[in-house]
Amino acid sequence: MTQTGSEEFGVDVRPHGEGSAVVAPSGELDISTAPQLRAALRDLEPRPALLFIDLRGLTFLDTSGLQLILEERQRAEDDGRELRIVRGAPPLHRLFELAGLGAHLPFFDDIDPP
Amino acid sequence: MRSLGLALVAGLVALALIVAVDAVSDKAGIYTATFLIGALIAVTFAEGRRRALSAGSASRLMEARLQGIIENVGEAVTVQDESGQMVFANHAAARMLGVASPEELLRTPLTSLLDRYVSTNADGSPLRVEQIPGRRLLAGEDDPEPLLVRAVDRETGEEHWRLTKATAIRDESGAVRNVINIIEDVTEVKRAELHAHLLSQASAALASSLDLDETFQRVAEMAVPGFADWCSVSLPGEYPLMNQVAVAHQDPAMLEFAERYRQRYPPRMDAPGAADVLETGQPMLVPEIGPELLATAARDEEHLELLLGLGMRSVIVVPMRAGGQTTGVITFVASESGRVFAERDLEVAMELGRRAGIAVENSRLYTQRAEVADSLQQGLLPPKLPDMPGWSAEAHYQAASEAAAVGGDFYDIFRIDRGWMLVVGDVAGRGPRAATLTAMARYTLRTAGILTGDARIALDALNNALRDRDQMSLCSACLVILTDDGGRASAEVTLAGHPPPFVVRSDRVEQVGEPGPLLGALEVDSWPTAGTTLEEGEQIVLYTDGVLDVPGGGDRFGEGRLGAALTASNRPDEAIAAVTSAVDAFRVGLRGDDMALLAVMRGRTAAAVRHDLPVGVEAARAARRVVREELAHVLNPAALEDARLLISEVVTNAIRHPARHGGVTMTISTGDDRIRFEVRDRGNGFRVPPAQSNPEEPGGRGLMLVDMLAARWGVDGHDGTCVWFELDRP
Repeated sequence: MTQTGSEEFGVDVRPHGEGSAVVAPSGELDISTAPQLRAALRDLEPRPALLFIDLRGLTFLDTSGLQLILEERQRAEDDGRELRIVRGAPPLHRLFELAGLGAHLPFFDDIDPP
Repeated sequence: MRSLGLALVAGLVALALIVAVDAVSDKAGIYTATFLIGALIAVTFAEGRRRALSAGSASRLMEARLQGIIENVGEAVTVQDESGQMVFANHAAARMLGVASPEELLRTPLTSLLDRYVSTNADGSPLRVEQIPGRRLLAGEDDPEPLLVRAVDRETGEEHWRLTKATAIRDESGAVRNVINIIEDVTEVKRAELHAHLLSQASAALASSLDLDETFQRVAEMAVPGFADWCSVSLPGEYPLMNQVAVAHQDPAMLEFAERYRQRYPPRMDAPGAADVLETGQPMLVPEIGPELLATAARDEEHLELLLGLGMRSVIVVPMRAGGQTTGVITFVASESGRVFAERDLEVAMELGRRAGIAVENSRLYTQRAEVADSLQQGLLPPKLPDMPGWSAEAHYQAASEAAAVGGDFYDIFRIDRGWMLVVGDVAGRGPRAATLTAMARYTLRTAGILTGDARIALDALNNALRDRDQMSLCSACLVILTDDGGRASAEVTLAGHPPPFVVRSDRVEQVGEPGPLLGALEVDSWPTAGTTLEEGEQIVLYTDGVLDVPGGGDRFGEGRLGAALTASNRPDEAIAAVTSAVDAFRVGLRGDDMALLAVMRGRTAAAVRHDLPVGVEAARAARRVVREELAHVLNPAALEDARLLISEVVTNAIRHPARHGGVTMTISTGDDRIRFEVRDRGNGFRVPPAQSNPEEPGGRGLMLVDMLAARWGVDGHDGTCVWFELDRP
């Protein structure tokens, strides 16, 4: 839809063994690109029992993206599914710390092998 | 024993008569009636059964009387036995359920009785048999709530609202022997209530918002499913198309269907129905839409099939009218509810149309006036201040609170041979006439000023131009010429009926200027000039009356408070922020007049660079890119990331609350000790969430980050047109 935003931003969705999937956004996640990630998460069918959101490919994240991750966590909790967030680079992760969410979200360093 | 029983029965008959004659209408009444009729029936049936064998003539007579009373009370009464079978019904019940006699009613199976009507709950959901109070009693419930049902006769399309109350007659063991149902027809009450509710809700919605499309949608949604199954609002679009601005139906799947239908067959003005209503301004009521009518309306076979598929039964189209003009139409359709609109529905629909019409007109006028005002005002102020080597300048203009009024204040800065000329002026009056005068004043001073470099000649030119007008046209102005003679800077102040500017020095604040005559009042050609020097870091601050005249606490803001507010300011942006916040703190009530402020300092504070960001969601990304490009060499990587995060948050906030004209401007000022970021709306200003807003909200969280990471931040002005934050340089 938008040129400058979508050229660099991408969402990689791949299955990860039985009942598990990885959603890996890359580039800058903000108000202009959040809808792409939101759509990718919404279109994930069937809903995996274990979902990884891999933030390592992101180069920028603000509260538009943070909001989206919180929504997804809420959804996983409501459905009784597991969500794991793979921590991004330190400058990126700082947002979670500033928001006081560093200890409250299921952060992991890596994706376990399937 | 027998006589006691008869006495009781007789007493009950007397009471029942009173109640029945009273034609029970209120809630308490119906409960009393239920009790009494229930008791009567219980006694009658119990007695009847017991005495079927003994056949005493007195009790037969009594039984016949009781039957007669119950059969003829105004309320519909039915009795079921423990299996649910109807064993008694009175005339009112037969009438209500659309059969000829109580006997026929007893013979008719319940399912076929129900099939005659489309029965729904008050919320529009289909009625389930197990919701009926009698059924609930038989299923073992103690005291089921009375049930309100909307029943639409499939054949006639007539709508009935019925309130059903069931009472159990139990035997000694407590088991339900009979269920007495009393059904009250509350159609009149319910309709009146629905109509009143719809109109008052719609009026509130129409009055509360100037965003019409959103309002129409809300109004359409209020009309379903209580009043209609479908409701849509259409305005004339590009001929011959109609622009459907709102549509509502209870079922999202049907809405989707309608959307596909609309795309395939866009509504047209020349189609029958809406077209006539638009043209004549007269409403249309089609109680029964026959297949012939659909065939006339259909554009082709497929269209006809789609129309048939919508199952429309009855339709009302009303004009939205205001000031003798029809601005659009509202369409109400009854389909799956099976109801047929009647004259009284048309009256409600017309009233809704009339109120919506007025709302459209108001909004249109407001938008038009505000747009004219905005574009005029934009023409009256310089789009941006010029870059002035050796000087730093900042301006502020605050419009009066009334959105659609153009103020008469203006300011300007332009280059002349000797240096710079600063102008602040104020034209008497408001509105379009003031706007034309303001434009003339600003451009006359500018043109004469640039050509001659002489304040007095410029004032003389404007004075003559104003004197040439038929009507007395007055304008005050303050002109300041800034010169820089080999490092020695000075200011020459010329006043024409305008209050003298302040000079802010390190140790004091003083006013400079000699009073001179107001422009347009007299045939004069001389205005006194006063001079002063400006050292490095000293400022001259020009302003209009609007600042001095701000009312508050039985006094006006005045020159004393203005001077005091300026005392501590070290830079033009601080001077303006100090004045606006002092004014805001002082003010009681709404902003009355507009105000202009212009502050210029000797020396450079910061190189301010302004960037117009793209309109829409791309703005945040563009802002971050600019920040990286401009500041990569100034900030360390961690501070640069903070700056990018904060600008992203603030810009996102701005575009999340888009003003009508959209577009956001970012200004980065790089000072010696700090970097200032300003995000400003190019249109009418945007709102920041209040400080105590929920941090879980994205906007709130964004500002929380600003609060945590920025050295200072704030919202400039009363209406939140600018959010700024500063990062200290390492």
